[in-house]
Amino acid sequence: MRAPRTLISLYSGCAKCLLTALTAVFILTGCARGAQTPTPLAFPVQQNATAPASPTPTPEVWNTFAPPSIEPATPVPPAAERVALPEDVEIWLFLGSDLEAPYRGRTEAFHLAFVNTRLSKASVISIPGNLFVYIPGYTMQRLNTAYALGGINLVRETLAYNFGIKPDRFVVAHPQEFGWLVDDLGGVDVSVLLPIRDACGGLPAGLHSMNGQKALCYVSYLSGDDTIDRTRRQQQMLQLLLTKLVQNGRLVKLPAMYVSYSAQLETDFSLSELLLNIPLFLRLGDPQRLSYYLLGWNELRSWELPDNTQTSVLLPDAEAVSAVFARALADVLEASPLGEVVLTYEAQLTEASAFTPTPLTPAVTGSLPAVTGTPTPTRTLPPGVTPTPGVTRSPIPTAIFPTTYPVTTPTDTGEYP
Amino acid sequence: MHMGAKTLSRNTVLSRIILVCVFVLLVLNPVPAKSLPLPSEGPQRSVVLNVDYTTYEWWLLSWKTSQVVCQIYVEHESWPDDSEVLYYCGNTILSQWRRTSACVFDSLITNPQQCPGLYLHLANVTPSTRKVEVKLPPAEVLISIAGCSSSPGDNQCTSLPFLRMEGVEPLPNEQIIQILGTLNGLPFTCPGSICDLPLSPTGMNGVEVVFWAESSYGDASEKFTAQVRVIPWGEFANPEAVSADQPVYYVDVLSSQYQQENLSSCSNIWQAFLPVDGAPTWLSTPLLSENLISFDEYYLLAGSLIKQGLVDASSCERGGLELNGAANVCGMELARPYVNEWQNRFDAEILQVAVDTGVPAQLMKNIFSRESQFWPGIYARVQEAGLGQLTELGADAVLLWNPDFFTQFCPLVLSEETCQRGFGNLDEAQQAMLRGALVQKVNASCPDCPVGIDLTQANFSISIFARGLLANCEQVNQIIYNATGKSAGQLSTYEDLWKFTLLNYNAGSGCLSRAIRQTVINKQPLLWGNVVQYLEPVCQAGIAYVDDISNMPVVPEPGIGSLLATPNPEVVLTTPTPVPTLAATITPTSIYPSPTPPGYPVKTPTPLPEYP
Repeated sequence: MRAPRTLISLYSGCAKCLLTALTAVFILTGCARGAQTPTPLAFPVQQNATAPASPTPTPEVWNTFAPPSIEPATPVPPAAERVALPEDVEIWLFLGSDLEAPYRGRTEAFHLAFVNTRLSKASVISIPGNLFVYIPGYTMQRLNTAYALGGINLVRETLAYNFGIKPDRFVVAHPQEFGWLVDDLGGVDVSVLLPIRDACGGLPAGLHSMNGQKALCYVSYLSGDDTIDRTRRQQQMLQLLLTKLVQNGRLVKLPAMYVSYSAQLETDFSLSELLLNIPLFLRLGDPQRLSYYLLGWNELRSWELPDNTQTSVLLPDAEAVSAVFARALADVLEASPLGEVVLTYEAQLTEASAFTPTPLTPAVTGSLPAVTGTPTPTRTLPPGVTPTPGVTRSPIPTAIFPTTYPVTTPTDTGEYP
Repeated sequence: MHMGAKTLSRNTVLSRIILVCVFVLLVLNPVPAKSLPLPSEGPQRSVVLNVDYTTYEWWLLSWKTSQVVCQIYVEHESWPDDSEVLYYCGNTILSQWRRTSACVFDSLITNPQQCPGLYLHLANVTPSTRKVEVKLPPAEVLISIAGCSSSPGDNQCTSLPFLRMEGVEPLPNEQIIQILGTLNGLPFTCPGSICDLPLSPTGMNGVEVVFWAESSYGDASEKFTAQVRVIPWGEFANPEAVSADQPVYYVDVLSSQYQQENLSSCSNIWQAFLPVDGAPTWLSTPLLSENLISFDEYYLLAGSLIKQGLVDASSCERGGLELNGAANVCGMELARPYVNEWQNRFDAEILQVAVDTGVPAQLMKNIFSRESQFWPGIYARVQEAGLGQLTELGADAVLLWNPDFFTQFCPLVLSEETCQRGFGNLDEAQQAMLRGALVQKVNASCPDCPVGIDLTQANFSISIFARGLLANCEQVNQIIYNATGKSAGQLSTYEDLWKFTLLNYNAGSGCLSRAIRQTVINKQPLLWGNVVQYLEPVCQAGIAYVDDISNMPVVPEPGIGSLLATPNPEVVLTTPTPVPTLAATITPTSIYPSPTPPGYPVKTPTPLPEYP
């Protein structure tokens, strides 16, 4: 089942790799940054799922979102109000599937990123997969099932319903690509905070050099049903991988990596888009420009399903979740000066590309746009870069794709931006 | 002295350093790299329940010394039984305890200390709670054929059907989120709990489908497999012919998850498809029991009926009986109506068992004809009983190779705890006890019953026999797998595999195993004609047995109405019209029951390499 891997030469001219790297990085990073200065923004999210107040959504909601087709275990909360994002802020979604391509597994890694492309700042919000949410057209169920049930469209609908946001871009990585990325980056040094004794060959607390296989184990391991702890480890890994990716000019390998992973990786990022975003990635390598948030025990609470199976899921505390989203968004709206570390990364990349058979386009590696408070509404392609609008999806064989019953994926009404 | 001490001191330090180094080397000895096991695939399907219970602490004390000799903890109110005393106190104290009788004061015993032996004292009653882990049922996937307009059981579709896979999640608030799998190696996926996989024509061996369900609970069902065959049939399938024929596709599915009536379970065991145009008559299961009707002459059966007084053959020479208990010709003539009725009285039960177990009904009827002539009692030897003349060797096969049946039957004879060890792990005495109990269970002889036969037992023996055949199917599959490394269906045909099964049943697994190995060594296909030529002389009687059963003529569409009108001999015992006795007595030979030769079981050999 393991797909053959073809790491082509840099002459290939393709470059999906950076994205993969970034994706995997984003998927799995940790160590929330120190105290943030929250800017209180009204950020509505769904009501607490068990809140007795107005448990039945208003009928108008179903004009946009499909009604449940299965009796929910707990009342469906009202839909969250749509969040109006500033023009320069995009939402990127990084998912980690527990099954290899071409299958759609449960997305046990679920990381959102608010990305301010103009200010080159981002905030990552990591969400545990067993957060119990309304999946439009289906029922109340764990967030990690949405992708398997209806692909990225249903994930978007689910986020729209429950958090009022719809991701603009997405990347879905599978265990294989994640392992490849770690290995291609030469492994990663991880500070294990809580020892893992019964898996991964045993990981006592302390610093560990991990290859792809061990890193995958580290971010997949579940102690009991503590998905929050696992999400924290994923976020830690994400941060480490992103940092390692932008260091020492490794981004020069991006095209080769992209091509190498593209058969498995699912994304709507094209190689050219990735290349165009290299300056952004370099800047996000500066810890001061990338914030990490986690929906943890302050925002979520455990709830046992009422069926005597002792199965627990997580329910959101609406206000607390809203506050996290607000802080994350506020972070990316605040301009910050470029740090020395970014200049170092740029210099390293320039140097690395000088020794590469096909150096990255000067427009990409050269002078970076100045970070100012002035909005940059449109982006122009640098000379020599051809846009690649198409997205190559994973090779799920359509010829034998069976008829599906019942239709659980709601129709995208197109009314939601 | 001083130098010596210094040297000693240096040596001590040196050896300590060496020891430390060795220790460090041992500690740091690089362990060969192993592949890391990934964390568990999902949550364990179990719940932990708190169960209240009470512990009763008993003391066994000596009358003489009032000393506690043993403490016993039980969880029931009654006294500890012998097994509990043995567990806590050992054999010596148990013996002492069993020898102790009630102490009665008399002239010799005037105080308790003079009482002999031990006494029990309830020392403590402690309510407690313990955690008990209870397994939750797993998700599974059931499959069926959809989009096929055909009558049930005929396996024909007039259009290309779908393979419908339906995920079943038994936990109340969980759902099947998708069904995944591969069709002939190509992956497919369906969101939700139902998946219709379009089928297209396959080769005669079909294609393999692997499928499983992912649950919202966080885990997945077992990975199931199915062998699916779709064969276009008829003129329309000929690319060079122009035909207006309605397309017909024969569709077969072999899978433990397949939901269909008349499932051929041995077909599943072997992964062998039935012939496209249906099973041969001797391996068929008709829709109606009337289609099993036969009108054969059974001299032993007639003799049994005469002996039981159901037929008055006193007008015949020697009362219509031969010395061996079979009827003579005169007795047979008088008994004919009763023989005809009797040989068909189990048809309904045979058909029901066939539906329940998937063992072909006609096959069972043929075997009963060959084995017992439908007399479910004992003819001559107590070692063979029931319609199928079950022997201890046959019972052994059922208990060893049909674990489902063993699980049901064993607790009727042995304790639950003992049965949990499985038949193969029981000691010889326990195995013998089970074998004997099973043979007795199918022995329908009943001196106090109206015709000397307990018909309930007789019907029960049909079910046992069918399970025995399933066990033999399993054994044949294992024999072929051991010899070739492949499942039986990959190497032989459905019909021949049944012949192997009959041979296995009749001649023993040793005979079949050796013949199959020899066939494999000579690189010949595993077909009946090839295998039998390697049967050793002692095993060759099995060939006639198989031929008898597989070539037994079947009465086509009998006069059902007239048969049904035949009076029941048990109710109306008419006096038959005397028939002149023939001078010569015809002694039937070919339809006599034949004993099953010993030789079972034989260990199966290791696989032979390079079998195609």
